[in-house]
Amino acid sequence: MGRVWSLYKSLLNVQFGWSAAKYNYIKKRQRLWEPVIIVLGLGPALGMIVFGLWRVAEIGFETGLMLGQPHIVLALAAAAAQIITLFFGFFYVLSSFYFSDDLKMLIPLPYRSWEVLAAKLLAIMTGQYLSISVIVLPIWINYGRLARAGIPYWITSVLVFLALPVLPLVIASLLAILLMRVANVSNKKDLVTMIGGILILVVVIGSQLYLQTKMPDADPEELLLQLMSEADGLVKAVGRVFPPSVWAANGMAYAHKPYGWWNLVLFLGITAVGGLVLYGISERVFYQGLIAGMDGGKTRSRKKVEVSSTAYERPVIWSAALSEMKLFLRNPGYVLNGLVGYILFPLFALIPLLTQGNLEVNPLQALFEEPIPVYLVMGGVALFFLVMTALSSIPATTFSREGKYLWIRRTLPVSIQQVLAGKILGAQIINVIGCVVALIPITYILRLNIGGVVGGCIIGILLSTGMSGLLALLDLARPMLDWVDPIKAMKSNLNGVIALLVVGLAAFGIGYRMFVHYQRSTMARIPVELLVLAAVLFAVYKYLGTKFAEHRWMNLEGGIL
Amino acid sequence: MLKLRNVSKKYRGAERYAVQDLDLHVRHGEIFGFLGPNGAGKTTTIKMIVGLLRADQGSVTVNGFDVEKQPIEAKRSIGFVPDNPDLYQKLTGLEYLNLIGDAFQVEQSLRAERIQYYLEMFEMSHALGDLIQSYSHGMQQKLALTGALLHEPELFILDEPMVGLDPKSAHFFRELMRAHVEKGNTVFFSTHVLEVAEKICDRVGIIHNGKLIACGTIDELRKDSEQVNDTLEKLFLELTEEDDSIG
Ligand SMILES: Nc1ncnc2c1ncn2[C@@H]1O[C@H](COP(=O)(O)OP(=O)(O)O)[C@@H](O)[C@H]1O
Ligand SMILES: [Mg+2]
Repeated sequence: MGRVWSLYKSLLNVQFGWSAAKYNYIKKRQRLWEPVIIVLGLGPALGMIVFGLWRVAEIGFETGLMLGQPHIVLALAAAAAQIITLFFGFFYVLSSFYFSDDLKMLIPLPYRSWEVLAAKLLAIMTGQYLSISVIVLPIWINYGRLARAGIPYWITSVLVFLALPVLPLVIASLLAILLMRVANVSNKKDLVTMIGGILILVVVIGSQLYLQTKMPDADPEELLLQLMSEADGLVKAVGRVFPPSVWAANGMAYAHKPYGWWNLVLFLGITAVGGLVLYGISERVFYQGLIAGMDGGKTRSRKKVEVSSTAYERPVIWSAALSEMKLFLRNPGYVLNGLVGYILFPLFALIPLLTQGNLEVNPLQALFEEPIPVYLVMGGVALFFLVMTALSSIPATTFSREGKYLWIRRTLPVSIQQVLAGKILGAQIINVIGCVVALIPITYILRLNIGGVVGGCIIGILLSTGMSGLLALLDLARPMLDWVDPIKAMKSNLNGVIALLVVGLAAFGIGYRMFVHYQRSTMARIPVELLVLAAVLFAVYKYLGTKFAEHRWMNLEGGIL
Repeated sequence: MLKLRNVSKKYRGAERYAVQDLDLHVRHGEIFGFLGPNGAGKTTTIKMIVGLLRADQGSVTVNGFDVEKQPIEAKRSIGFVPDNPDLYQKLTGLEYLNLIGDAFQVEQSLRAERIQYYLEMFEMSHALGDLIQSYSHGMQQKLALTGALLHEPELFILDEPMVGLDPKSAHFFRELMRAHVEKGNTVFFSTHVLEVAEKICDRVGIIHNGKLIACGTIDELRKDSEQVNDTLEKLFLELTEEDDSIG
């Protein structure tokens, strides 16, 4: 067990970059402003989430109390935590076991396969505990306070908390194994992994949405009455997303009664069964991972290529853009993490199809008079482009993803402006295609005004181009180059988080302006303001792109490790 | 062809200079060996020449262009192979070469001709359409070499090129360098093995603890070391001891 523990600690260290942070900030005392800015940026965001959930618990408790089911908030929190674990766990298991190279390095060391597996799963679970505690703790603690819960509640909640991520992680692992089994036997492994991964996510999310929203063919009001009158009816309805969360909630709420104990036993029991299943398949996870790590051989095409037909001269920027796109799209880890948003949004728009079986009712008609005002459509579409630039992480990790290969670009006779232009062009081609493809079903389902969508696309392209330039500069300012696993450049990279914060704030501001114009009926100003914003972004990019980028490009020292 | 004047470099956080007051002049058309034990400062110097590191003091000029003031022009004359070339694993060999060719604006017919020439010589034309991740270490090295020679650089720079090569490839390498200078170009390479330098270099410079302690033909230096220079003699001994890395 001691060996598992030490391996676990070193994996955690890599996962969170503690040594690197200690080296940079404490030993070398350089870039001390970074942790300060990160704390200042993330702190309030985290605080707002915790405070918001604290309030949710209060409101949910009071409403639930009137219906005799105050513990609906417990079920909500548990279900949300388990769904989030299922969703992200799938990525983490894939990243940790299949996209990561460290299994190969661990093999020569005297570890047994179950020890490596246990350490890796523990490292993943630690990350999961941290993230679900943000959601679960404010709600559960406030519930305990409001319900004046006794000792049994608190003890039970600790047990439930510890068990919470296990089952979803087991399911995520099973899905990952299934995917890698299929991928490993095909000779287009990367492609199968990407498409299969996206398919699995679509199915998982789609079925969740379906379960969540599909109601029996009854009058909605009648149904609600029925749910409210039935004992724990609402709790059960919430729990449909992830049924064991109902047992968790009941176990906690009735911790002082046999009914609660029975629920707790059910919940812990099914968790234990899940854990045993995982133990049983552990060898398989491990070896499939190993096979996945041993790339090469199988990917050989053996097809004869004609040199002279491809050896023509391309403009330097286009050449850089092409390589940027290829290097991103050929890595299944990047694709699954970066492009999932382009698929999720249209999927959300499909909710009515799943719930009603048809697309006759526009889900937005409750919010706006129909049709939706054309300038709002324009603004919303432009905003979509902007948000996706950050969500895809392509520009914000563009230099980091070069890693130890950065020496190639730095020794070529190409200026940093051209390098940046190529990278932005490559990122934007992916972003624009992704957004347009996602917008087609959205436009159809929400019956958006075509002119508004087209106008929004044009404004959105301008806006997101400026933004991706700035995000690429951010990554040039603090690239993360010393990775061994390519996936780290994207998943453990703070630049991606900073990008989301910046763009999230911008989106919030733009959304607010749009709302103000909507209320004052001055919506024609929305596109004007967005165009001005795009111009400002370009100007800032232009200024920094010459002043700062050249200096930075010459002084980067991590080109060759 | 290549001039270093008073070049110094100290890494951030380091106590001593990795390279100190280095003066070096590599002439047009020669094969210059940059000789020194491990940790002497060879890689640091080369990184400053090719634009990967910035010198704290002094200046580097390549083909008359200052590498800091006119980096693009300077880089146009250079072909560079690092000691351990890491190449984009998710590009095919041909895509990598085209990326280099596009950056150096190598015109179509020349590009195709040179790619075919080198890859046939290296016996790896068959792998051109495969991803680099499927290449062996040796194949990746050969690809890096082809990339560096694609624009027929006036100054060909290699960092420890003979490490890990079998005797046949080492011999072949020497031929390659020879052929390159015979076309009127210059070769600058580093090594920590005296024997390698002896066989091919027109002149060598010896670097030790970041300082250039001798420069000239091997014969000149040998004479010096026998007669007066104690450290040089010791250094020669040290350098000859380490010849186990060539086959
Ligand atoms: N990135 C770095 N940071 C700090 N010190 C370094 C770094 N790279 C090299 N050094 C130090 O600089 C000196 C010269 O190293 P290097 O140029 O790599 O030598 P060589 O190539 O001759 O073996 C050594 O003492 C080495 O430890
Ligand atoms: Mg070296």
